[in-house]
Parts: sequence; structure tokens; C-alpha cells
Amino acid sequence: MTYAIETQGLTRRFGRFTAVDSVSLTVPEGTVMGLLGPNGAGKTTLIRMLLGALAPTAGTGRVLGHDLRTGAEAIRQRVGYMSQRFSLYRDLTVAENLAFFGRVYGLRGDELARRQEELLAWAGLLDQRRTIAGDLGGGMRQRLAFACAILHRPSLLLLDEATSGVDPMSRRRFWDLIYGLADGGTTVLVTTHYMDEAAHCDRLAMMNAGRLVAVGTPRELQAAHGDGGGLEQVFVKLARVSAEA
Amino acid sequence: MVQRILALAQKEFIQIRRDRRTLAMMVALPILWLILFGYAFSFDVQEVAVALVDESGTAAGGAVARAVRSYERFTLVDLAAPSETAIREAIFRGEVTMGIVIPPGYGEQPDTQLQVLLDGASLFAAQTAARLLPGALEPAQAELRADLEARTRVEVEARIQELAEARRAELLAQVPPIMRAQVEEMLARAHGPSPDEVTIAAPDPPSFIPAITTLYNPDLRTANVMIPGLLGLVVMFMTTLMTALGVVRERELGTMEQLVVTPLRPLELMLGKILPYLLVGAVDFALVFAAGLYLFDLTFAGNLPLFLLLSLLLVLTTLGLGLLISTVSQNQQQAMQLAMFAMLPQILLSGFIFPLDAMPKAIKAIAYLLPFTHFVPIAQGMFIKGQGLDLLWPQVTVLAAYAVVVVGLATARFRKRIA
Ligand SMILES: Nc1ncnc2c1ncn2[C@@H]1O[C@H](COP(=O)(O)OP(=O)(O)O)[C@@H](O)[C@H]1O
Ligand SMILES: [Mg+2]
Repeated sequence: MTYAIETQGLTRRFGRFTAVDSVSLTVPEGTVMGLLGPNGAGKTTLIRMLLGALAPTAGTGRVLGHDLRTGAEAIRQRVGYMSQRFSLYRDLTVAENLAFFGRVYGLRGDELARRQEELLAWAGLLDQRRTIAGDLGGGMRQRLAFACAILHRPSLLLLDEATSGVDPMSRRRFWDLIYGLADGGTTVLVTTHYMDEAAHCDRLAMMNAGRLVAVGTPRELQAAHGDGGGLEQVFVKLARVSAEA
Repeated sequence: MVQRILALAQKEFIQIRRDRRTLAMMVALPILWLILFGYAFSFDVQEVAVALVDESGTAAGGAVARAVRSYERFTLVDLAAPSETAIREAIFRGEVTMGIVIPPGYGEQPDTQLQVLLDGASLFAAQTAARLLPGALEPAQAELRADLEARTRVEVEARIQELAEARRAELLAQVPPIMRAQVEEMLARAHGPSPDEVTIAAPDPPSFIPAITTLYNPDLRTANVMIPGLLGLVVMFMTTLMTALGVVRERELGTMEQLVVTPLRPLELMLGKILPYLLVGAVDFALVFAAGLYLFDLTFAGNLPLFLLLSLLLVLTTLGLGLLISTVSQNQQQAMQLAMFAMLPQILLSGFIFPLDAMPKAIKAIAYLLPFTHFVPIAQGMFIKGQGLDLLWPQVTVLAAYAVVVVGLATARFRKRIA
């Protein structure tokens, strides 16, 4: 089995504080991995290290076969990222945002125009192409960010709280898009606070206080830690256990 | 690589175009400063209030008084009881900038001099008055010379007449009485020396006016000196501030987080960010330059391509400074404050507004540490005098060194901060 993500003892400290503590994680290619954990668990920090945007303090990792420390450029060409905060240009239109990121990823001319149309249709934003991104509603904004993250057809998608603060209808639509990509072979790592979303993932990784505390399919985790309850119960238990430890 | 830089630059342009505040600043700032430094901030005083007291009773004194009264840029202020004391009081009250006292016996008795009193509290008016005075007195000089010539001529004529009479009497005395009538008739017909033929060797009256020739800016207009420096100032302000804000805005709004995970390399990111603001600087440069030529009637005396090249050195420094500021600022407000902090001393101490020669040693030492201080003499020297590298090389060397160091430092810091 080949892994899209493979880390060994990945650690990141900020001063004396350890945000990510010796995380060893593997994500098989073509799967949807849910990354769970309370706020401050270190999910975002881990993702930023996987992107090569943040240097690890210790440990090693490979993403799509490239070493985190030396292969950041190669990684970025093939990874799509949606940050937990809307990070597109609010003063550019939907089309301008797409065009900008497309060109940054090396698309040009007809190819860029075709891809732009394709994604506008895919994200249901055809009528909003001239709308200033800052004026979009939450769901559309997120779909635009998603579209920008997959312009360059990445093999790995890192989605950091992509659906937080979005109404249920929009979340459902968003997940349909994720499944669509996963079916096409894209590996997806997604952090979320919604347990219904977590239940839809192939596998789950649970973090707390910087550590990886449990990994498995939703069913496995439920059996091991659920105490007869749902994933909610798993989450609460694992968050508490580590907090007490 | 080029495509990515251009994509970033183009995106930046769209943002500039949409941001009314930035656009307004880009256009309004040079215009505002042109008005401020070109017109309002002008140190040229058009009319000077002058009081005159003539105690001379001499022709020379009269001529000086007439010249002062008829000079167009002097506005005569009447004193109730003309005296030096009255002048001092009028200056105290601020009614008069310059008082002129013509002492008794002026021009005839030795050691008599015009006494000129200036109001140092009205600094620029007083300077203008002192500068104008020689020109104002020129007609008096001319009048006195003509007068002296005329008087000398009358004296010489009288002397010649006298000599001729004496010579005739002498001749006649030697002639026997019978022949006197005949000789007298001959002498009358003979051509005596006419006064017109005698060159009058009267000495010129001593000139009391120094001959002042002002080179390069004959009207001593403030605008001529201000505009070249203003070119640099506008460009420095816009490029430093806008580059700093442009980068920090990405960080503040979270878009930087998206940019750093794209294939954009730090250097490309930096160039893509700098390029648009370089162009903004160029537009403002052109705006002020054109205003200097067409609004203020300046002529550019130097080598224009060289000047553009040297201005580029300044711009590299200020763009680098903007980048440096962006690497230590968390938000736009901080960046704005830091940029002001970096630029204000350069505006005040560069010699652009206050002369460097007038600064105390310690301040001067600080002034020479600021890059803009080295640009001002380049701009003024090339613009007004047409100086070249043979004279300006020390300033150019320092400025080039600054460009290299600041851009190098900014690049290093920027890479570290982004990666
Ligand atoms: N740049 C940073 N400097 C200092 N502390 C940081 C930094 N980034 C994150 N942290 C800290 O690391 C911890 C983990 O943060 P994060 O990875 O954002 O958690 P999560 O995404 O799981 O909510 C938090 O306590 C946060 O305050
Ligand atoms: Mg987070």
C-alpha cells in the first residue's frame, strides 16, 4: 500500500510549548482521513508542517513521496489546501480569484479559461463569477475556496475546518464535492468538529494536546472507545482522558 | 517564474484599482505636496514693508530715497515722526520689515553709511528684503554717477574758459598796442580748445553697491530647489508605505497563508509585490516631474537618463525599507506607524526643508546616516545645475551602497519570514 502521508515522530514546538508532539501517522492514497480533536489539539499546526509552510522541530515526514524538509516545492505543486480561515482575496471577484490562483499554479490561456469554467460549474458559482468574493455568503465562499484549492488537480487535499460556520445544506453539498474527488482517487485529509462528517470518513485520527491518541475506522473507534455511544462519545472520552493524563 | 510574478503583480493592480483610498493617495499626495512645498511653503516674500528716514540733506541721500520709494517690491510705510526710534517701534509692532536711515551728510562727509534695520522675527521677509536692497539702490547709483559727471563737466568747462582768458590776456600784453585789435580778431577766429574735445577724466564715484550675480536660480525661487527634492520625497513615501502595507495586508487578511502553500517562491512573491509599487512610484515621479516643468517653469539641466537611474537607486532602497517594515509588522496600522517613524526624520533632516549646514553636529551626523540625505543633493545638483557623476559620485556611492544593503537585508528577512 502506498501512503500519501507518512510521518514519524513529527514534532513542533513554539518556544517551550509543544503544539504537535511526536505524531506518527499514515494516510493511504485515495482515502478520506478525518482529523479530530478539540481546539488547540495541534491539527492546524500538523497540517501546516505537511504543507512545508512550517518547519518541524523534530521528526520526519513524507508527503506524496517527497520529504517535508527538502521537497516543499514539489509537494506544493501537488497539494491543495483550504485554511480554517477564509484566505482568498475579498476584493477580487470570484473569477479573478480563480484566475489568479490558476496562473500561480502555471495554468494559462485556453487551459486556464476551460478549467475556470469547469470549476465555476462544479462549485455552482456560474452566476457569481463577477461577484466580489467578500460579498459571497458563507457556503459559496467556502466552495470558491475549495475550487481555488483544486484548480491544479492536486493528488492530496488538506481541508482545515472547511465547513465550520456553514449551514447544513451547504455542508451536505460540500461533502458531495469531497466524495466526488475521493472517488476520482484524490487523497483527502479533513479536520472537523462535526461528528456526522467524521462518520463519513474512511478513517479517523484523533488528536489531543499535540498527541495522536487514536487512529482507526469510525467503526473501530466506536467499538474501542464508544462505550455503546456514538462517535460523539468517543470524542468526549478521548479529549477528557488526555486532558487528565 | 515570470508568469507567477506577473500573476501576482496583476492581482495587485486590480486591488489597487479597487481600493479608492490607495488610488486617492496615489494622486492626491503628490498634488497636495506640490501645493504645499511649491506654493504655500515658498519662502519667497513678494512685497516688503519698508520705512525710510532721510536725514541727509544731500544729493546722494535724495537719490537713495527716491530709488527706495520707487522700487516696486518695497511698500513704503509712513512714520508719524521719522526717526530711527520710530523705525524700531514700527518693526516691533510688525508693521515694517526693513528700515533705512540715511544719515546727515550722506555721500559728502566721510564715514557716512546707510543704516539698515531688519526684522529678524520675520525671517524670510527680512532675507528677501536684504537680498532686494542692492537692486533697489541701483537707480540711485546711476543717478549719482550722472550727477557727478555733469558737475565735473561744468567745472572743467569753467577751468578751460579761465585758462583761455588768461592765455589771451598774456598774448595781448606781449603785442604792441597798434596790433592788438588785429591780433584780437585773429585769436577770436582761431579755434580754441572746445570743452567737448577735452576728455573729462573725472573718476567714477565709488560704488556702494556690490555686484551680485546669482548663478543657476537667478530669481532665488524656492520651488526650483524644492521640486527636485520633492520628486524623491513623493516616491519614497509612496513606495515605502505601499509596499509595507501591501505585504502586511496579505498577512492580516490571511491570504498570505494561501500564498505560501502555492508554488510561489519567496523571491517571486517579493518581486510580484514590489513591481506594482515600483510602477506607482514611477507614476508619481512623472507627475511631480511634469508639474515642475510645466507648472513651475523649471528646466532640467542635467542628464535625464542618469537621473532616472539614480532615482531608481533611491526607489530600491525605499522599496526594501517597505519590505523590511512588513517583516516586523503584524497589521497595517503597525506598518503605517513604522513607515512614518522611518520617513519623518528623512523628510526633516535630509536638507530637503532645513539646510544641513544649519544643523548642529550631532544632528548632522544622524542626517548623513539617512539615505534620503544623499538623494537631495543629487536631485538638486542635477536638476538645477546640471551636475554629473564627476561631482556627485560620493552621494551616488552611498546611495548605491544603501540600495544593496537594504534590498539584501529585506530579501533575507522576507525569505525567512515567509518560509
Ligand atoms: N505560531 C504559533 N506560535 C505559538 N503558538 C502557536 C502557534 N501556532 C499555534 N500555536 C499553539 O499551538 C497549539 C495548537 O494550535 P493549532 O494547531 O492551531 O490547534 P487546532 O488547529 O487543533 O485547534 C495552540 O495552543 C496554539 O496556541
Ligand atoms: Mg485549527
